[in-house]
Amino acid sequence: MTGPPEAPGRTPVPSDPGEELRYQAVARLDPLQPGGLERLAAVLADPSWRVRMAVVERLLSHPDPAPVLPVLFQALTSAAGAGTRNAAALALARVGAAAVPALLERLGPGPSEVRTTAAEILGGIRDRGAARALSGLLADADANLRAAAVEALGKIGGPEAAQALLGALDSGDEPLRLGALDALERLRIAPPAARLAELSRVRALRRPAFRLLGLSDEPEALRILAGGVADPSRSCREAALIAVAQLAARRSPADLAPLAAGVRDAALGEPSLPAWAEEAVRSEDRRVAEGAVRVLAWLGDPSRAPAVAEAAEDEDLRPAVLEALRDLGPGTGPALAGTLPRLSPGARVTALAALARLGDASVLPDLLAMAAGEDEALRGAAVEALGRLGDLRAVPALAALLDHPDAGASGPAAAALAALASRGRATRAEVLARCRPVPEGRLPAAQLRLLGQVGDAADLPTFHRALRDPRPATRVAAAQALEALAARRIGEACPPALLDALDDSVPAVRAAAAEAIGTLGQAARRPGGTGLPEEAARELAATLHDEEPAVRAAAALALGRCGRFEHVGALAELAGAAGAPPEVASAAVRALAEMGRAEPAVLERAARHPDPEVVKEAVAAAAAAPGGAAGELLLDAASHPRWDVRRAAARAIAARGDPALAAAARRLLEAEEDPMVAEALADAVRVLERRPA
Amino acid sequence: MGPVEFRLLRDLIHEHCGIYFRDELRYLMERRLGPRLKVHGLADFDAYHRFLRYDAQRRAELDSAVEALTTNETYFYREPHQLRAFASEILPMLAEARQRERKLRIWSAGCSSGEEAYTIAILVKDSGLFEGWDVNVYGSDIARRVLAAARSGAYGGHAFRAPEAAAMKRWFRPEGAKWVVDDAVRALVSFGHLNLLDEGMMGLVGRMDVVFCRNVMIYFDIPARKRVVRMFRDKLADGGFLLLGHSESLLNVTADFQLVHLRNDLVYRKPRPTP
Repeated sequence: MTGPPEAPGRTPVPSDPGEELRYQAVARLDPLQPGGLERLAAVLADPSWRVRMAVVERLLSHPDPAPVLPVLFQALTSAAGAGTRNAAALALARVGAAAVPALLERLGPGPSEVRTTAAEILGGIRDRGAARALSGLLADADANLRAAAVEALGKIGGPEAAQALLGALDSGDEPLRLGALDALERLRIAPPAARLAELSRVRALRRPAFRLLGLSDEPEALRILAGGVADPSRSCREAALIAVAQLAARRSPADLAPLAAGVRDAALGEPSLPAWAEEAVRSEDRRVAEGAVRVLAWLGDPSRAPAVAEAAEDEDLRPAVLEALRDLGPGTGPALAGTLPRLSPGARVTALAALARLGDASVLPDLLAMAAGEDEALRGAAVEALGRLGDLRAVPALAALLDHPDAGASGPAAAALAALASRGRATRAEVLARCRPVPEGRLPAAQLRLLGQVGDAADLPTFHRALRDPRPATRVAAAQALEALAARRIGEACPPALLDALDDSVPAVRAAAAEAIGTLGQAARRPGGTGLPEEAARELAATLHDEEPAVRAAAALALGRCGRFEHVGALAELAGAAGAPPEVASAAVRALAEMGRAEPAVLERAARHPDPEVVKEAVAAAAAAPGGAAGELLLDAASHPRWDVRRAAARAIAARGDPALAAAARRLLEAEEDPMVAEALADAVRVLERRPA
Repeated sequence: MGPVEFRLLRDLIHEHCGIYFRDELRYLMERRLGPRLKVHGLADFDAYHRFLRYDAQRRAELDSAVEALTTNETYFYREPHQLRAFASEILPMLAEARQRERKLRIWSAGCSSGEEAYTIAILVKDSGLFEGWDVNVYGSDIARRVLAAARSGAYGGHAFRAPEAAAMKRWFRPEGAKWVVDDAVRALVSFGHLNLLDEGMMGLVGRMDVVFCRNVMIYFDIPARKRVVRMFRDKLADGGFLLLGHSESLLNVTADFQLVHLRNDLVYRKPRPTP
C-alpha cells in the first residue's frame, strides 16, 4: 500500500492509511466473545507491526491461556511471514509457564525452524524447567538450534544451565563455544581462569574470554588480563579493559596490585600501550573508558593526566578519574595546568579534588572560588577537597560556610574542618581558633557540631549556653555537640541545661537531648564511672511518654545505652504495643536487646508489627535470645512477605547457629525465589550443617 | 552502598515518586546520595534509609534525594541528529499542519537546567516558519533546583560544547562569565515543576504538538513507562511527535505510536484518526 508521490525534498509520511483504522478495530475485539479468538488470529498476519502488537495485547488479555495457545502455535508455524511468527513468539514468551510444556514438545523431532523458535521462546520465558531439554540440544546436528539453545540457557540461568554452558566450552564447535561464553557472561559466571587462558588463544573467542576474566577472582585471571590490555587487536584490548573496569568496581586496590604490576610489565614489552590506553579513554563505551583510566593510573605517567582528566567530562567516570589522577602522583599538577581551564566545571572540580589529595597547594584559589560559588554540587565537591588538601589557608572560607543557610554547604564545610583538625595539633588549633566564639557570641548550628567533634572541655560553657538559645536548630546542635564530647569521654555527667532540654517545646531538641543523655550515661557506665544520675534516668523514663514518636524512640534507645534495667517493663510495653509507631517499637526492641532483656514473648509481639523495620529488630534480637521460641520466631520471619525481613531472618538463623534449625532452613532455601534471600539462606544452611547436632 | 541498602532505598524512592533504579544504576545512586549523608551527619546508607522512613524531615529529604538522583549535566544541542530532524523535517510539517491555528506547543519533559528547552526555542526561531505565531516551549522537571537554573537562563561556556551549539550563541549575551539567553527566546519558553508519574499534575499540561522526553524513561520501570507514554499519547495532538533519547524505544511499551523514518532520524508519531 503506497500513498501519492511525495514532493521532492519532503519527508515521506507513513504510507498505510488504513493502519490506524485496523489498529483501533483490533483494540475493540474481545477474545472472550464467540469467534473473538478466531478474528484476532486472522489479524495476526496484518502487514503492520502495530496492528500485530495490538492483536498480541488482546490475545494476552484472555484470562485463560489454554484457548489462546493453539492460536499462537498455529501462527508460529504458519506461512504468513516473519512478522506474524515474531508476534506469536513474543506473545508465547509473555504467556510464560503455561506455554512451556507445548514448547518443550516442539523441541523434539520436527522442522528446524519450529524447534529453533521454540528454544528462543523458552529462553524468553526463563523457566528453569526447560534447562535440561535445552542442554540436550547443544549436541544437536542443527547449528541454528545449537545457537538458539545456548542463548536460551544464557537467559534461563541456574545450576543446570551453567553446567551445560561450561561443558559446551569443550565442544569442537567454535560458534557454540562463542555462544557459551556470551551466555556465561550474561549469567556472570566465570569459568576457571586456566580455561579462559586456553580459550583466549583462539582468536574468535578472545574477546568474550577476556571479558569473563573481569568476573573471576582467581589470581591467574589478573595475569592473563595484564597481557590482554596489550593485545595487538583493538577490540581485544577493549574487551580486556572492560574486564579491568569490572574488577576495579568490586576488588580493592590491594587485590588488583598484581594486575597493576602486570600491566606495567606489559608496557615494557609493548611501547604503544600507553598511547592505546589514552585513545581508549575517549571510547564511547564507558566501561572501556573506565578500564583505560585505571590502566593509565597504573602506568604512572603524569604526562597522561590531561587525557585522564578529560574523561571526567563523563560524570560517571569521575570517581575513577579522581582515583587515577591521585595515583599518578605529584607530577600531575603541572601536567594539568593547561588542561584545567578547558574542562567543564564538574570535570574541573574532580581534577582539583585529586590534586588536593596530592597536597598540591596550587589548587587552593580555584577550590576557594568554587566553594564560594552557587552551584551546590560543585561547592560540595570543592569543600570536601579543601578538607583533604589540609591547607590552613582554607579555614577562613570554610568557617564562613558554617553559617550558610543551605545545609548542603554548612554540613560539608563542618566535615572539611573536622578533617583538617584531625591532621594534627597545629591544624586543630587553627580550626578551633577560628571556630570558637567570642564571649557571648552566638554560633550557627554547624559550628556547634564541629566544636563537639574537635573541641574539648573548654567548650562546655558554650554548649550549655547554646542549649538556651532562642533558635531551635542551635539548641539541637548544642545537644548533639555534648553528645559528641561524651562519646569522646569529655564532659560532666549530665548538665542541668540538658535535662531541661527534655522539656523543650521543640521535639527535635527533646530528641537530641535524650540521645545526648543516653551517650553520657553510656560513658558513665565505664569502670570507675558513677553511672547516670538518678534524676537524669527518671527524666529519661518520663520522656518515654512524650507525645512525639521520635522523642520516645530517642528516650528508649538512651535507656538501653545507659543500662537502666529498672525500665525494662516500660520498654517491653513500647516494643510490643499493637499500633506502636514503628520508630518507637524498633527503638524499644533494640534497647532491650542491648540490655540483654529481650524476652521471647515481647519479641513475638514485635515480630507481628506491620512495619518491617520493627520485625527486623525483633529478628536481630531473637538471634541471641534463649529458648526454642526464638528459633520458631526466626523460621516464621523467614517466610515473611518482605524480602528484607526474610533475609534478616536468614542471617539471624545463621548467627544463632542452632543445628536444630538446619532442616527447616534448607526447606526454606529450596522454596526461596529471591536471590538475595536465597544467598543468605544458603549461608545459614552452610553454617548450620557444619555444626554438630 | 551495599546491595541491601540499595534495594531498600530504591524501593522507598519508587514508592515516593515512581522513579525506579535498575540494578546497574547502584553506582549512580551511591554517588548521588553520598553527599546527603554529609548534609545530615549520617554514618552510612543504613542510617539514611531509617532517616528517610522516620525522621520528621523525611518528606523534604525524599524530595532532595529525588532531585539529587535525577539531575544530570546537560548542554545545548544535545543529540544533533534528532535535533536536525526536528528542525529540518518536523517543524516544516507542523508549520503546514497548523497554519490555520498558527499555534505551536512543544514540551520538553525532563528539561533539567533548561538547555533542551532553549535549544528547541532557538530552532523554532531560526526556522523562520513561525513568526507571529503563538509559540510556547514548556519545560518541566521533577527537580525544583534545576528549574530555578533554567529560569535564570544563564549558562557557562561549557554548556555550548556541542559543535552545533556555537552558532546558538547569537541568541545569548555575555554577562560576566556567563551567557544569558536573549529575551526574544526567553519569551517563548516557560518552566514548571512536574512529576510525570503524578496524574494529578497532568491537568496543568495542555495539548502538545511535540514532546521531547529524552533520557528520562531510564528512571521508570515498564509499568511506569507505559503510564507515561499513554499520558504523552493523550496530550499529543493527532499527528504530533514524540522524541525519545537515542538509546530508548517504545518496544515492549506500546504500539500506539507510528514509527516514522525521517531523513535524519527515527521518531514516533501519534497517528491521525482515519477519515
